[in-house]
Amino acid sequence: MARAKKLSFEESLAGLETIVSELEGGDISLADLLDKYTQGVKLSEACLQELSAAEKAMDLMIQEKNGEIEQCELQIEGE
Amino acid sequence: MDICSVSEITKYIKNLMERDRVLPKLMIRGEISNFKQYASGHCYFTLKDAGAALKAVLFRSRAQQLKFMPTNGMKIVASGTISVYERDGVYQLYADALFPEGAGELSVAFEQLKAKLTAEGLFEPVHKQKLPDFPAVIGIITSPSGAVLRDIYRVAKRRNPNVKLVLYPVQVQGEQSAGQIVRAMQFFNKAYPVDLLIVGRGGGSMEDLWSFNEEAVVRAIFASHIPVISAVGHETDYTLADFVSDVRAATPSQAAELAVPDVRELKRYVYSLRAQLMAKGQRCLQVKRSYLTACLQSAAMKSPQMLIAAKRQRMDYISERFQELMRQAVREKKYRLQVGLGKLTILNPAEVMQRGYAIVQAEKRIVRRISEVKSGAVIEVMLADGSFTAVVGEVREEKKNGKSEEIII
Repeated sequence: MARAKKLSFEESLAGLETIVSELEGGDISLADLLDKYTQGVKLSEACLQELSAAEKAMDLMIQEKNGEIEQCELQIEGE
Repeated sequence: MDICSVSEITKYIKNLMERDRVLPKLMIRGEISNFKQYASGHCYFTLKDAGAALKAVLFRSRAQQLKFMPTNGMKIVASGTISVYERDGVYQLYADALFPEGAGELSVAFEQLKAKLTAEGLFEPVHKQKLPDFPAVIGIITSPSGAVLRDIYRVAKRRNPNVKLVLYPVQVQGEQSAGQIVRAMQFFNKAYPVDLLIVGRGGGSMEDLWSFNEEAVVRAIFASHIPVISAVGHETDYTLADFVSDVRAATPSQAAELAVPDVRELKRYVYSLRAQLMAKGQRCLQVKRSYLTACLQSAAMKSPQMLIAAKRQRMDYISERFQELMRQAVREKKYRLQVGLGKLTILNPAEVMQRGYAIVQAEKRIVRRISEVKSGAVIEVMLADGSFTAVVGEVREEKKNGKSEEIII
């Protein structure tokens, strides 16, 4: 089976919310339960990972000069 | 020359004025005098300047919308219609809005543009876009120097250290300002897609904030397919940019709060979902487990020995019954055998011979009829305890008259 493409945070969170509500009823086969549970744990891991993503994006400042776009690192006074 | 009535000529003049190019919609600068508000809520006053005076009326529905109270001597601009009041034969201004002079012209422009754009539907809630739940990249359109950028930066980074901010620096007041803001809006929408835009500046006078009331800026925000948060001035300042943006923030800090979800809160939420997942998963398992337990505690499962004992008992019974039937069958056969044997005994020729009968054989065959023996033949006579041979004497066949034949032995 092909590896599913990486879900966005919103998609992962929505998936997790759906699974939690599906388990609400309790009327679920054991195989399904294990499946959903595993999937739910995976999604929550994905969410948490997304929230604490280590790579820090560089903030930018855009400057247009004679139609050319320049980007440079954003410097904030006093930060 | 036709003669007409006063009413007719008055109506004629009224029609004339109403069809005029200027009179039905105009703005007049003047000073208020003789201001009176009646219990009905309608306001009557005279608008005058050094050279002339004009009667004016402001009906209640319009008067209620004034943000200020008109007073005698106040210099104002009134917008409205000049028409005839037929009963008194006077023309007067039917005002629909009054603007205090001073902040004057901008206010007028503001109200005019606001009315126009409202009529076009630019501020309708239906056009408001939903903000993204978790924006990764946020475009900021404001001055590179000043507290606004720093406030947005601080709050955004505090809530999510990984959010990426991209500043398009613009002048936020002055002649160049509106053009730059429009250019920045277009830049992000066409060349540099971001999840969300914050456009704003710090507080100031109406003149300072004016760029954010320019039609081009308002239309550029309206046209943006990227959601826009406006943060112009302070809480009490409203610009048309605020009306047209998807969300209006009272301050730059609030804009950042609205834009960037707090990752700690989100983490807490995810953890709570995870806890729910586990609890609900556990409960599902428990339901299954208790069902299983109930099955296991049924009598049969609880004590398999009992079950086996019951089977064994049943088997014992069946085998006992089988044996009984067998015995019965054997008894029956035995009985029949005895009966058979009894009959056999009676028929046994040896037994019969014991009683004095003999068996006669001729030529090795038992003789049953007299016709089977001939006089002079040798026969064998068997008794119970032996036999002898004899020669047949006279053969007498027994007749019906009862005369018997003697056998000579």
